[in-house]
Amino acid sequence: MSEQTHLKARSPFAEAFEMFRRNHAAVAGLVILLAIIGVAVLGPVLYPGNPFDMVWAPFTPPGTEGYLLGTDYLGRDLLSLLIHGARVSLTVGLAAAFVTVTIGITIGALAGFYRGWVEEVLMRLTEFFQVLPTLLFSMVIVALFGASLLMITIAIGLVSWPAVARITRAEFLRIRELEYVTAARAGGVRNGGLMFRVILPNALPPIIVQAALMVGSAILFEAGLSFLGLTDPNVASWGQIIGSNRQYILDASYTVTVPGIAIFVTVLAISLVGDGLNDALNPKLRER
Amino acid sequence: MSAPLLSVENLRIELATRGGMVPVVDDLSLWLNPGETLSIVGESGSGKSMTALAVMGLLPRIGRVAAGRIMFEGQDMIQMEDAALRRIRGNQIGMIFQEPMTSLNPVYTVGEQIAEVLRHHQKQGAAEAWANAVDLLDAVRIPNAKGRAATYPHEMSGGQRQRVMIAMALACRPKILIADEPTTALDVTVQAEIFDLMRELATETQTATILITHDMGVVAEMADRVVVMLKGEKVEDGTVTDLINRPQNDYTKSLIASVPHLTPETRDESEVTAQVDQPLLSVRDLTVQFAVKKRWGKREMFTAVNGISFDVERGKTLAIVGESGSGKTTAALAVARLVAAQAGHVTLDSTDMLTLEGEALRQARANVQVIFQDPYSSLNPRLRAGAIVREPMDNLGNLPAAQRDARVAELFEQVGLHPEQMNLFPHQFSGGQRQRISIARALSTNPSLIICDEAVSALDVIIQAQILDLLRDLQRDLNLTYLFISHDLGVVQQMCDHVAVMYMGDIVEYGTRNAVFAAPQKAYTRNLLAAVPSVESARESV
Repeated sequence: MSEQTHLKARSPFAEAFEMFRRNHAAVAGLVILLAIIGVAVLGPVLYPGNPFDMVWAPFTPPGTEGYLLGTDYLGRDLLSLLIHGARVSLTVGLAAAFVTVTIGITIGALAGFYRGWVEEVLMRLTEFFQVLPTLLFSMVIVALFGASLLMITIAIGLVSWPAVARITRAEFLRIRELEYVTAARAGGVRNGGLMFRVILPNALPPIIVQAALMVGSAILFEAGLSFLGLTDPNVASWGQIIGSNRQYILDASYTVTVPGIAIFVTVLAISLVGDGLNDALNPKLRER
Repeated sequence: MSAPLLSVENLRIELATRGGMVPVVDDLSLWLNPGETLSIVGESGSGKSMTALAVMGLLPRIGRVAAGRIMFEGQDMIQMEDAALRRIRGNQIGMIFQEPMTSLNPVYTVGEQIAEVLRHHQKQGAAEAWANAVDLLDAVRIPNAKGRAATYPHEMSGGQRQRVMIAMALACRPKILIADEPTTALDVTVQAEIFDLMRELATETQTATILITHDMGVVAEMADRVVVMLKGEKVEDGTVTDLINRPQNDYTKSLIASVPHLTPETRDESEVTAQVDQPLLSVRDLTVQFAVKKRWGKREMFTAVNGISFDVERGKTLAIVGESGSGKTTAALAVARLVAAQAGHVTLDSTDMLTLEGEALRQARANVQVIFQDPYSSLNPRLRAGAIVREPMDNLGNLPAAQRDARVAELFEQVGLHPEQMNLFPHQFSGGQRQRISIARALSTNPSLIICDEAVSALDVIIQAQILDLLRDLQRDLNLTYLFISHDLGVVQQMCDHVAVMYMGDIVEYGTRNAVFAAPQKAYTRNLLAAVPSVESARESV
């Protein structure tokens, strides 16, 4: 026991971070992701001006003096579009993931904690949203309520939350039967406290992983909607760049390829981070 | 004497951990003669299971044999090719595992699983293998073996599944049977049946057995010779009679001392029988039912506790004993309102517990606290030890916030922990220390009743004795009242003043400790007492 008294407290999350650091692919993903976030935050300062300004002749190929990535069909600077677009794509991705996780955790936690008719009703609702054709449903929302970034974010959130709700419910069903939850109830913790202070922190690991992957898929979703033209035409996003240049895909393929690579790299980086989180937070994989 | 069947020489097993290769078994030598039963005894982490796995060539991926030899019929099994090893494993050496619930494959019938072994090792045809499988089930005393061969594992009880495991292990008439804690997951009466069976089969088939256990009582009843292991090393070995009557090593002595002897020295009972006008806890006709879902949404009620009544006096301990499924834990949790009761009255400190609702119920929880069985799941892994102990005080009771940390420190000292350990997380403690945290948490609101739900069942015997001492000391110092739930009669005998024996939801016997242990009235109680392994059978009469 004497040796234990001098042990440093190691929280479960500190240990998970240690595990994450050993996963080189995940760390690489995190570095790339931080770089992209840095560009999105600082970009407009480093590269001022309206990206929609026509600055040079259309279809200037990449590598031209002053226009590193060339210009698109309207003579707009692709690099500028890309940098300003990063901000929108990442914001939509994060915001949509936030909406998804908020709805998903609330529904899943209530269903898993209270069981009975609450669970029946909430899970039928979840199934209803799960069987909707996601792209079609979000297109309907955007078409009805206008193609603003807020509406797009809400639309993505509305079609993505069932996965989070299911994971949360499954974790709640498992954890609510553990003795420390009964012990907390015996210790006078109220239902709300049991749900959100006792069970939820222990249910978080798989939800965090799912949320990280959600950011990636939300970026893809936004790109898909933009490609179809269902987006705010006054705001540059990566999907919108691809969408507006799609007619010239054979003549000037770089106008589509460049933003495509940006989406690919970002989503890949997020997936690597998500995978690393999965390994770090899953105690069964920890001792490998 | 002929040459030993199996001999292990200077075995060293290492496991790969983050800190490098760590030895879990070191310089272990033992031998097994044909037809005898050798027992390896020790607590968890002593390396006894690792030794068995090494003999089978089944060490986990992170483990390796670093030195030594395992000689079987003149060959070193460590040097053997995988293919040669597979021919021995399951064929010449059979193995039974601890957990009968998970060691059978749930998607095949038990007959198919036994027949599979015969087809693989003995190259028998399908019909022949099936017929032999039925014979084997009959040999392990499964009634109606022909019909039962076609059932799936989940349709059998734990004891029957362990019989199937034994049938499978013996299918190829192995020369050696390795049994790793074969009855630890079973009730004590079932354990006695399984041991009877193993003894009979060993004599019939002349199979040599290596029996791995933590229970010296099991050793005394089953083994011819014994090896005592501690922290990967052999501390003592010899014949069972020698070892039990003349133990040399202190650790062996403490293992022997930890085995209950259920013929009690008559304790002075004047104190126990002294009449107290009002019991602290009075339970009348308590009934708990669960809804069991049947097919097509039909619901059926299952009665877990069937109208039981008992009293607990202040400062005393009532033990409720029974086997799994007897309803003992359900009854105790219903008293604490952690499980809903359908009928009856529970009066604690003149409060009617069952009629409380909402905020009144929450406040009443301060008066009854629970110590749970599993020290690994009863503490929230995301909270520091200090916060775990503090939680009930934050929610209940009237201690000002400023004094709570001082109270936590005081509680830590009371249960034998260091206040500095308040900042550590549960996974940084050992099982025994975690149970101490649990006890500190239960004490934090100064409850008048503490329910110990199998509070020491998951601990090694030596640690178990320490925790029981702590519980007794705390009871004496703080005048605590315990409702002590256990399946372990030895533990119950050490702890309680009164005993209630439960069977299938009813209390079948209820009385003072001496009355129940010395002169049990009911056949069920007598069976239960007789089934507990003791060292007495190996004692030499003086």
